[in-house]
Amino acid sequence: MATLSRRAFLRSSLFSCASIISAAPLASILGCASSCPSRVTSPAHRRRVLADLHVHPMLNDWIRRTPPAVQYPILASIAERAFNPTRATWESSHQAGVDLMCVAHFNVFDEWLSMPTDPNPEAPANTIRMMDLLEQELAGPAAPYARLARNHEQLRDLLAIRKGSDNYRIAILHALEGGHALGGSLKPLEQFARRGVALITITHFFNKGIATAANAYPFFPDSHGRWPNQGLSEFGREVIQEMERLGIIVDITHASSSAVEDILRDVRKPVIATHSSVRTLANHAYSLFDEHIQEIARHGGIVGIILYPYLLSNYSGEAAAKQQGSLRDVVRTIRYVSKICGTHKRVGLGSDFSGYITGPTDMRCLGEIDTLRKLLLREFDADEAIVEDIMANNVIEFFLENWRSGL
Amino acid sequence: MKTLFDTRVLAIGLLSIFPTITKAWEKEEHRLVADSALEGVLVDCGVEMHDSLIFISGRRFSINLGGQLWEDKTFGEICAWSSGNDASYARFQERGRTILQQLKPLSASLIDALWREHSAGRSSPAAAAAGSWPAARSAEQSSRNVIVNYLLHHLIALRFAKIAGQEGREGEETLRRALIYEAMALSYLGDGFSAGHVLVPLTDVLSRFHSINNSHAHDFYRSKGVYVINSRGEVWKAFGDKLLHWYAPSYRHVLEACITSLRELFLVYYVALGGAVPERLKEWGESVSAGMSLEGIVKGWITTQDGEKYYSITKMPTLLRFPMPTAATWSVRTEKVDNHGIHRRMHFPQLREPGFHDPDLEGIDVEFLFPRTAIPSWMIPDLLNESSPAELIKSHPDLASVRYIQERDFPPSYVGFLLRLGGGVVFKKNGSGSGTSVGLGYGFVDDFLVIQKISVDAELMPSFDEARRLLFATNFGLGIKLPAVVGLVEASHFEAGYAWGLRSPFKAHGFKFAAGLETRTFPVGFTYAGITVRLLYQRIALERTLHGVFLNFILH
Repeated sequence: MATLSRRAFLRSSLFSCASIISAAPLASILGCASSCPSRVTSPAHRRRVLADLHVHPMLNDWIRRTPPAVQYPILASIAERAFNPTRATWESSHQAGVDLMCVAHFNVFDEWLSMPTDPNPEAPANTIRMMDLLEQELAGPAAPYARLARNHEQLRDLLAIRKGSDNYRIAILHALEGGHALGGSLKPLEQFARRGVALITITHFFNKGIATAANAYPFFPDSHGRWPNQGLSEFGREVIQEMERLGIIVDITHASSSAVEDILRDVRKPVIATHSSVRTLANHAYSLFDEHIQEIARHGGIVGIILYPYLLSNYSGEAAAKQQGSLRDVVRTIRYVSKICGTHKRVGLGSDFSGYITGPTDMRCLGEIDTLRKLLLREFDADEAIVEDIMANNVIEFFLENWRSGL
Repeated sequence: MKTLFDTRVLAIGLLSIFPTITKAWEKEEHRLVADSALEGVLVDCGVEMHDSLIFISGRRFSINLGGQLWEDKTFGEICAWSSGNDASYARFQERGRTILQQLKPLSASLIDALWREHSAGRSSPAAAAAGSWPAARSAEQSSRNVIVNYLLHHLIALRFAKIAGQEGREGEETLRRALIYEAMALSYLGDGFSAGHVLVPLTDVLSRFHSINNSHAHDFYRSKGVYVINSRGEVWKAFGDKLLHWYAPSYRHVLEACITSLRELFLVYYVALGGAVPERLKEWGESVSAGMSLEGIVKGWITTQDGEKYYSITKMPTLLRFPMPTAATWSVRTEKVDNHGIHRRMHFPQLREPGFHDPDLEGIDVEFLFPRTAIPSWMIPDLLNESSPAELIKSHPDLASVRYIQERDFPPSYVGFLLRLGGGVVFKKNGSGSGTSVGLGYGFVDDFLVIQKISVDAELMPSFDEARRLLFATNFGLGIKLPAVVGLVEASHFEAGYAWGLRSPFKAHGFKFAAGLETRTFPVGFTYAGITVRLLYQRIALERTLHGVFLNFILH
């Protein structure tokens, strides 16, 4: 019997090894689809289902258009699959009866590759491109499911359409995540206001010359301490004043304690925390103190609860939160905020889905929002009115009363 | 577009991924904390700071406390030296037991016996004048936990401090001796705050046969951190050795505990000395005295009693600072407000009994709660007498139920001896055969960056393909982590080795390669062992190439 040569043996062995190492992950990545599971339930005759203060349905699409992803599309696929497990698709959200989505625009390169003292002057143009991308999507594939509202009057008209009718659409609002989108200047604010930007999260992961940011990454050491020396900068004060003049709502999510303190002292209009958590329940720099939550509520603002369990409880790490975090963390937080505010009317939801967070184990798609609704009904003694307020009405009323840009 | 790469981002990223690079060695941490604490307390005592620390007592004599106190070692160096064997049982808390439970076995008679041993029975200045003290040495009780060992050394130090105060001008040697024992005490105190010393199951019978896993558990909790609560109502995340300066709250609690311990010692000294107690030290003493006189509280610290009473009744300030792991607390808002208008919150541990914990807790959380008998009654909030926990959670504005989801059971280590069992299908031109394997190996590395489970092993493969083919192979293997995309699969696995035929006529030998997938480690319950499952494609170049698919179970 002829024996295999050593070279041929090694070659065939290496080929076998390569096949095995690549088969499993490739099959998963290439075979996966950006879809939601079939746990979406239709709302039947329910009036309001969800007003989501902070969601990223376009983030994957935007990332795929950036130069690294264009050059290496497999990297974008791997990143989506491995690090962005939550979904917010138009069809499933529409089927579930979602009323409103604040679509947050965030360009990672504008933030990560610029300094506070040297902001990226192209950031506003990139932001406009992201807004254009969303509007193209809404004019195209998403047209049967969602429609943009550029001002509170258009929002009111959209929300007046009865669920179940052919004209029902999810109301979409532009939102910007991170003041770095201004590129260090006040000038873009006017353009953003005309385009209908409803709210701006004035800081995000890093201090970009507007306000100091709270540590949101699990693996970052909390090196800033509870109270950084600087909160809101002088430029930040000007940004807030201009935003209030233009009718854009100030979002304090991601701001450090010092920045939140400064902002609450300076603002004259109600502010919002779109996707936040509570420091008493989860000791993260990202979370809000009770006193700040109460201050926001006293001035007519809204505290939106994020659907990211790691930030809602004290998990030993991101891995533990990924395995054990559930909607119960969300329900506990909502209950607590309602209690300390003395009312449930100042609470909302900001899922941050499709924003590279690890969602609860019992809800991975925005269309599964009914799961949360059932838990809230149990928590609030089956009071449908309270639950509907928390999930949608509070936020809708807030925007109708306070949002004045885009006119 | 002009952009600058934010070097702070890079620095933060590197520091986050490799925190251990920036850390001090473990003994150095003990030295730093001890010296920092001593410096702080001497300021309280009104020390004049010169190049070396000079201590000026009320009766105008000086002792150089920054210099060498004992066997050419300074205060901090004594503490570092005393930390010695980090794996000793005497340096660990007992997993799952509270401070009260850990102090219960410490009897008054043992305290007295140790004092007599280290003082040669001389408990007063007159007796001390009868001869010199016996040589100072460690009083470690190797079968006792770290809290007991701290308290024993600290109580000896307090008694020497009292005698030193009574000796007045002649008390320099005795005060020096007090500080020697206090330095040793601080080494136990520091270890008692280390995450790697709080949750290791050292007392478990099976863990004693698995010292590699104890070391692994120590390192696991050291870097993962542990949420802890002390008896003052404070909660923080503790980290372990070599991470002292990485996380500020963790460091602050250790330092404050060491400062408190030294304050106790100097308060005893000054009260015994007579005359005025330095103002800041006096203020501190009055803040912890609960209305008693300074003489009264000092007497409580010096009086011999059972160990648990120093904690539950006397409430020695340092003992109140020791951390215990926590699964859930009652967070109660107090009236104290900081500069920013934020109310201080006080935490109380939730307890296992119904009516004392949040009814919404997961089952596993309840298992990790302490029983009511394990804590003193003053650690139960009065609010629980007003209403049920469920009602309080729903409606009381000052109370919150806070969960801390800890790593309950660390994953078994791959480092150490391995047992390998496998079986599978061997492919032939016409049909297929079967094969089995059994082997022994040794794991070197759990994981490093993207590589994991590096090991070597030797395996015997009887009846490999043909009934009479007996193979012996040695392998070197490692895994490469995969993104979490395929269920239980954690990594791909590769092996390279050599195989020999042992039985005629199949005596050929040649290279062996294998590649496949491996699962995560499945813990085998209470044994701290684990099983990894591998599905491997193997190829062996003998007189002909044998190849097949094998399923292997690795017990480690």
